[in-house]
Amino acid sequence: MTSGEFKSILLPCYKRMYLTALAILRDHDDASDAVQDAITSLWQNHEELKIPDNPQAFCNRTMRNTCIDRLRSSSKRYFENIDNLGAIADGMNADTEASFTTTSAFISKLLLIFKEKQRKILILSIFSQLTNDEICEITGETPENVRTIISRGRKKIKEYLNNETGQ
Amino acid sequence: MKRDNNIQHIRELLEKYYLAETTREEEERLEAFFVGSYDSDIPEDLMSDRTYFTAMQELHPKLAEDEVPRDLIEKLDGIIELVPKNEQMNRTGKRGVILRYVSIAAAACIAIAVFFKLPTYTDSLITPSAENIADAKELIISKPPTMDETALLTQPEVDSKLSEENVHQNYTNKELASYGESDQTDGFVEITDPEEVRKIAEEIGNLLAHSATKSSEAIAQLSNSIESYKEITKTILQ
Repeated sequence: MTSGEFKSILLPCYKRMYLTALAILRDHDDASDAVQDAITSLWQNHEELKIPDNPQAFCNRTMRNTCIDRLRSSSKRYFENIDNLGAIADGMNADTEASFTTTSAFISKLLLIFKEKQRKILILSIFSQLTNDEICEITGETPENVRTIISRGRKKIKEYLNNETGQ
Repeated sequence: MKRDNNIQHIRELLEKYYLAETTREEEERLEAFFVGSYDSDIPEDLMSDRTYFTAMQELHPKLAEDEVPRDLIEKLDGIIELVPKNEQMNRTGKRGVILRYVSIAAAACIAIAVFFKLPTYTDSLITPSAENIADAKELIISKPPTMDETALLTQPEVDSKLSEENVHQNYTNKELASYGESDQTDGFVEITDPEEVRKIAEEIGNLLAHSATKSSEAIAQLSNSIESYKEITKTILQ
């Protein structure tokens, strides 16, 4: 791929890359940094790259991998952000908080009933919508462990949510 | 009928979902079904799932393009402008790594070669050299008169000696001829006293012995450092 091809084919995918990163990392600054990392690494190797059949899908895949690497090497800030949502839930004012925040806050607080390991896996699955395989890659857990934890978590959350709304 | 089929499909997906066996696409289909349907379209026993999937959908930030920071593209353009430099650094980096491995391999080869060769060198250089020097001393000391004799002879004298067949038994004709040809006397100080010759020879012997000790010390040092290189190579190879 020439520099010109890189600029006309891959670079325009950056907006969707950003949104992919935002969905996973759930933080604007982190997402922005991650896009820059991904573009830097693509640019450094662009001469060896072939033009992908689906540039957008290719860029999104690269973006997801970059995010997974980030979460694997340092996920402290990510989990802190989610925990903060739970803290919001404690002092929540239903009139001022947007519904997005209240539901997020409610579920992040709900997740505190799980042990740390389970909680982290559930956060990655529920908030960032990562696949089981991606979660295995980040946490180093076995696929069967991850599947079992997510399965139990989903059932529990459904039960709690319905208790809450039923009351 | 179509609706019943759809509901049946949703039930199957739900079962898979709570076992955490669905793909991302299947989960999106579930979300779309529960969020996009009227209450009346959803069977009573699936209402709890509706609550769940509505909550799940609310968890995720709105992914619209106006969420993308405006200055992001400028930052990315900046990366592309800066990276030609970066790229070159990267390349030399790679070359550097290859060079490093090649030099490690070369060092290992030399270390191994020297390791196997060294005993032969030391055998010939250190151990026998002491004897050799003693031999050399003996030789030099025992021969001064002949050396003296020949060294001081001028060409006509040699010729006359040859013709008189008054040659020292130790020398063949050929040797004598070569002495004559190379004109060995030029540039040498004439030493006539055999005692002095003996002294000088002894001194030369001492000097030789001294330099032999020096060089054997140096070789010992060298073999020490080779030993440490061997250690380093071993650690690197491990």
